[in-house]
Amino acid sequence: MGRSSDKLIWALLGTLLLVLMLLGLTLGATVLDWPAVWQAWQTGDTTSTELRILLWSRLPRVLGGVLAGAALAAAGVILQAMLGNPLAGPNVLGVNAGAGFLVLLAAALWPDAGALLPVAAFMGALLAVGILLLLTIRGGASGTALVLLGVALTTIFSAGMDCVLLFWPDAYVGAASFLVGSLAYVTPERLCFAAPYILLGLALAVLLARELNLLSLGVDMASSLGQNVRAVRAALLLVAALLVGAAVSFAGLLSFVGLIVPHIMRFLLGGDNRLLLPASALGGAALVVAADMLARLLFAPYELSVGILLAALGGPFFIYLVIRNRSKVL
Amino acid sequence: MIELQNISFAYPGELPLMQGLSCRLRRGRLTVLLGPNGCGKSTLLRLAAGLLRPSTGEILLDGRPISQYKPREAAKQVALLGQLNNRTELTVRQLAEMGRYPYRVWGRLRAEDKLRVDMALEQAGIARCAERRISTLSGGQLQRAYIALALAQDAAAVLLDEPTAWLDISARFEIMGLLLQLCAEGRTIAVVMHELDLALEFADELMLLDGGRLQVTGSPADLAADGSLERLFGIRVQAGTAEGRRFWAFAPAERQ
Repeated sequence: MGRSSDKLIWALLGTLLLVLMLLGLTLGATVLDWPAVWQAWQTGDTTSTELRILLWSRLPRVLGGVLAGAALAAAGVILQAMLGNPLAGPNVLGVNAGAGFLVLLAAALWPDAGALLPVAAFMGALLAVGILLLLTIRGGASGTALVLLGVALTTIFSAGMDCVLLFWPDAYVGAASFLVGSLAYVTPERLCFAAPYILLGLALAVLLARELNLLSLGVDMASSLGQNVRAVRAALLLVAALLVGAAVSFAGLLSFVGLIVPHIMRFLLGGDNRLLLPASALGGAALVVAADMLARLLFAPYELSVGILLAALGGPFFIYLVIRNRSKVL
Repeated sequence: MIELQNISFAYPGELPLMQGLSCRLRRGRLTVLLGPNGCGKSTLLRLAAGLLRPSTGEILLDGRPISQYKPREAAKQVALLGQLNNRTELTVRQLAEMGRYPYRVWGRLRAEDKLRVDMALEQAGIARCAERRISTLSGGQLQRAYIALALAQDAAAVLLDEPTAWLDISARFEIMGLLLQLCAEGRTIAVVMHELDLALEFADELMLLDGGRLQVTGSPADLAADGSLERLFGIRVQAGTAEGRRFWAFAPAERQ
C-alpha cells in the first residue's frame, strides 16, 4: 500500500473521529444548543444548564470514549503481535477481568481513594498478562490453549468480582454497568486520574512499535537480530497493562474493542505496527464514541450500556475470526 | 567460521540433548545437518547463533567465544532463519528492512541501509514482490523474502532450519541454488533438512547427528560410499551417472 493511500486513511480516520466526537457532544437525551453554550461561556454563566450538560456530562463521556477506545485498541495491537495470535485481545485473554477485579476490590477496601483505581486496575491487568506470558513463554501457545487460558482467567476474576460485590454491594457506583462496560458513570475526576496513564501508555506504545514489529516475527527471529527480547517483552507487557488498566478503571469491562479494531486496521494498513498502533488508537476511539452515541440514542430515553452494544458487534466478529483462522490457529 | 567445541546441552527439566559435540561450520561451504527427528539439529543451529547457552563447551565465532559478543554484534555475523512467520501483514520490503536492525542508530534507516535492503531483495530474487504482503506469498517466495532479510543483515553466516520443507521440487532446487550462490560469496551456510536427495546433490559437507552426538562428517560422496548414510537411516544409497551427471538413488535396506 502506497504512501498516498496511507495519508488518505489518516485523514479519514482523523475526520471521522472529530465528526463523531462533535455528534457525541451534541446528541443525547437533549440535543445540545451550541449557541446557548457559547453565550453561557462568554458571559461566564456557570448556572446554564446547557453548559453544565456539556462540561459535566457530555464532555467527560466523549473524552472517556476516546481515551478508553484508543487505549484498548492499542493494547489489542500489542497483545496480538506479542503473542503472535490473531485471537488475542484484552477481554478475550482475561486482562480486562483482571483489571476489573482489582478495581472493584480497591473500591471496596478504600472507598475514598479514587486515584487508586487506575493503579489497582494496572496491577490487575499486569497480573493477568503476566500469568498468560509465564504460561506461554516457551514457543508461544496455540490459539486453543491461549483462548482457553483466557476463559479460565476470566472465570476466576469474574468470580472474584462477584465475591466483592456480594460482600460490598455498594463498593462501586454503577457496578452493574461496570461489569459490561459503560461510560455513563465517567466523571471528570475519574477521567483525570486515568488520562495521564493512557497518554503515557500510547506514547510508549508508539515508541516501542519498531521493537514490536521485530518481536511479531517470533522470539528466535527477534533474538537472532540482536533484540533483547526479555526486556522488550517486559516493556510491552507493562504498556499493555497500563493501557487496559487505565481504561477499565473508568469505563469498566468494555469488550472486543481491542480485538476488532486492530484486525480492521491491519487489513487496511498492513502489519507495520508503527502505523498500526496510532491508526488503531484513532479507530478504537471512533468506535467507542460512535457505539456510546448509538447506545444513548437507540432506545432513548432508556440508555444501553456501550459495552452491550460492543459485545453485540464483537461476539459475531470473534466467531468469524475463529472460523476464518480455524486451519491456521486452532 | 563457527566452531562448536565439546558442547553439551539440555533444555531445562529434560534429558541432555547433546553431549560432547564438536563441529565446524566453514566459510564458503554449504553444510547440511542430517539426522532423525529430535536428534538436536535445530538446537545445534540455535546454539551456533548464540540464542542458547551450552551447559559445557564453547562456541567460537571467528575464533572468539560467541558469549563475548553483544547480541547486536553477533547479529551482524550470524543470521538464523528458523520458524518463519508466514502470517504477518508486513510487506517483503518491511521484512527485509528488519535485517538492518543491528545497524540502526535511533531506529532510523539511513540511505546506506535502504541501499542494502534493495540489494538484498535483488539478490534473493524477490525484488519484484517487494511491496507484497508476506501473508500472500508462496512457499518459495517466503523463503526468498527471509533470505533477503538475512542478506540485508549482511551476516557472514546464514543458518537455515528446513528451508525446503513444503516446497515443490523446482522451488527446492531454486532455493538450494540460491544458497550455493551465497556460499560462492564466501558465506558460511548451514542447513538443517530431511531431504536426503537435495543434501547429497547440493552439500559440500554433510554432518550426521544421532543420539546427541556428531556421528560422522564428510562429503556426500564419501558418506554415501562408506555406508554411514545407510547405517543412520537404514536405507541403501546408490550413486549413478546419466549423461555425464551424477544422480542418487535410494531404496529400503532390506530390498535388493
